[in-house]
Order: sequence, then structure tokens, then C-alpha cells
Amino acid sequence: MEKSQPMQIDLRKENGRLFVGLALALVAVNGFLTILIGTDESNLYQDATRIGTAAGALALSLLVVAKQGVRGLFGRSYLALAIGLGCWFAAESIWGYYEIGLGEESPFPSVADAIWLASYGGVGYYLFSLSKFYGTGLKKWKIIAVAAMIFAFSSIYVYSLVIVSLEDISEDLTPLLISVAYPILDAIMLVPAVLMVLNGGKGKLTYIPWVFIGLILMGIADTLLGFAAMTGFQDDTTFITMVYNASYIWMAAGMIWHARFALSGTKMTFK
Amino acid sequence: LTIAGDEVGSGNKDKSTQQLLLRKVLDETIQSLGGPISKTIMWQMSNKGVFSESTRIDIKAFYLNLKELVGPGADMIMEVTWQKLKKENKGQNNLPRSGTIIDMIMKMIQSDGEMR
Repeated sequence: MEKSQPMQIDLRKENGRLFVGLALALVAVNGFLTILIGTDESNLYQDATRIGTAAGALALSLLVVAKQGVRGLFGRSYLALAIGLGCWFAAESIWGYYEIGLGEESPFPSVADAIWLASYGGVGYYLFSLSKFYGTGLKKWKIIAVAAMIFAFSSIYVYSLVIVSLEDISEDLTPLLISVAYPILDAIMLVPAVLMVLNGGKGKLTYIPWVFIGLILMGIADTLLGFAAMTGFQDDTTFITMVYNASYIWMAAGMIWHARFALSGTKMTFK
Repeated sequence: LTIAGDEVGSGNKDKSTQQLLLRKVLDETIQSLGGPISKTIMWQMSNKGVFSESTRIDIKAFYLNLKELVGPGADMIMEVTWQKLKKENKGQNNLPRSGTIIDMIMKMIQSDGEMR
């Protein structure tokens, strides 16, 4: 039998196609939420879409792990990311269970918070281990500038959070410590994620750092949620959910890209 | 003449040994990224013709093609390759110490980028 010829693929065109697919998915999911703003069902569908988009990203990350294995720099990193996404999916589901299943506001702190905090282990491993690959050649001043900006913002944010929390402080400091842990961990994650994106735009396979962009969006969504919590959730939170959805969808796009092209083996030749 | 001939012969042998060592180290480094992704990289490099012969690797062409494929990852691969080559050649006094990593690898394998 004749062996099938490898396909000739133009990766620039494929980047464009995936970007269009991502935009359509974002419009479909977040457009649906926009229609529901101000209705009684808004909160319910916000939870449902977050669980759905997290499930999609998790499923695709498991597909990558199955295709790639768990050995080597990329094998270990994508396994860690899948664990992180698994934690996010579990935490979103628990949060959703309280709000959709029990019809009450999710308690704080809850098991979901423990799982959310645990997710930083997997995601952090992914970010820092792949920084070696995606971040080579970064100028020192760039690293210092990005780290300084993020930590300055994070410090102001944490300070405001503590001031607001001190107004009705109880003997149990756990809620305050958890509230403070999120922005600190987010800041630690954001530094490599932002640097990898700044170092993007090079290499046919690495031109768009899809997953890193998704992780930056996650940090932004967490920050917005923190601000909303500080003000007692007085405004509509649909926009925050939209950013979370965008984050999961960007990560899902990254998994599709990685599985389809980086793991294509001898099936394709890149133009 | 015999002595001179032997010198040339051993020089060539040395060059080819270094080329083989370079190929082995490059294979190991790319493999360390993980099986499937390394298969993709090797395949794309082979298609560019830079990996067709194990004893004649044009490291400059290899690096440029790798950079075109994986962007900054190419620098990491070359850095790790250089560190491994240095380790393999430990004890040699004439290890290159200046220039870019590509220059130093080229000096080490004594090819001066003119192998292809």
C-alpha cells in the first residue's frame, strides 16, 4: 500500500482560522449572557457557562495529555496544566452546585476556595517550566519592568483588600488570608504569563501563545472579582463571567493548536 | 609525510566524531521536550534538509530553521545542547569561550559552518 503523503499546512492561515473560531465561540457564549443581563436567570447561566467552558478546556487538555504522554518538558507541563484545569472545573462545579443546585449563595470560604488555591500548583508548574522554552532571550529590563508593574499593582490591591476587610474583621482571619492569597498568587502567575506573551510573535508553532493569553485573562477576571467582592457585589457581574469564559476558551484554543500542530509528528509539513 | 598524513587523518576523524557527538546531543535535547513534539520538530527539520546526514550538520542552518519553527525555544535548545557538549568535552583546554552559542558550537565541531 502507498504511504499517504504529509499535508502541506500554512500555519499563518491556521492561526487566522483558529482566531476566527475562537471569536465565534466567544460571541456565542458571551453574547448569550449579554442577552440575559438583568433577568432572573442571569446568575444561573453565568455559572453554567463557566462550568461549560472550563469543562471544554479540561477535556481538550486531557486529549493533549493522552496524545502527548507525560514525559519530557512538554509532557510534564501539559499534565500540570490539565491538573490545574481539573481543579478549576471542580471548583466552578462546586460554586455552581450551591447557586444552581441549592439556590443559595456560595459560602466563603468553601471547599471551592481550597480547590482554587490548589490549582495554582499545576498552573504555576506549567508557566514556570515552559518559561524556559518560550522566554529565552527576554531582556532583563523587560523582566524587571513587568515584575515591578504587576507587583506594584498587586500591592495596592492587597492593601485595599485588607483595609476593606478590617472594617468588619472577625476573630477568624481565614477569609482575609484566602482573599489576600488570590491576588498574590495571581501576581506570581501573571509575571511569566505576560512575559511569554511579550516574547511571542516568533516561530511558526509559537507565534500566538494561546494558553498564556488565557492565563492572563484568568488573572484579570480574578482581579475584577476581587474588586466586586470589595464593593459587596453591588453591580452586575456578567462582565466578570465573560472574562472567565474568554480565559477558558483561549486555553481551549491553545490545546487545539498544540494537539493539532505541535503534536502532528510526520503528518504535516509546515509552509 | 606519513606523520602529516596521520595528523590530517586524525583531524578529520576528530571532526566527524564531534559532528556525531553534536547530532547525538541535539537528538537528546530535542527528545527531552517529549516524544511527540520532538518527532514533529525532527520531521520539520528533516524536511528542510538540515538533518539528512549525521556527520554533516550545518549548525547555523539548523538553528535558523529551528528558530523559524519554535521561536525562542530554539535558543533554549541550543543553550542546553552547548551545555551538554561542554560536559562531553570536559577536560579539554581549547573549549571556545567567546561569541554566540552557535559560534562556540561551530568552533567546537571545527566546521566553521562550511560543512554543507
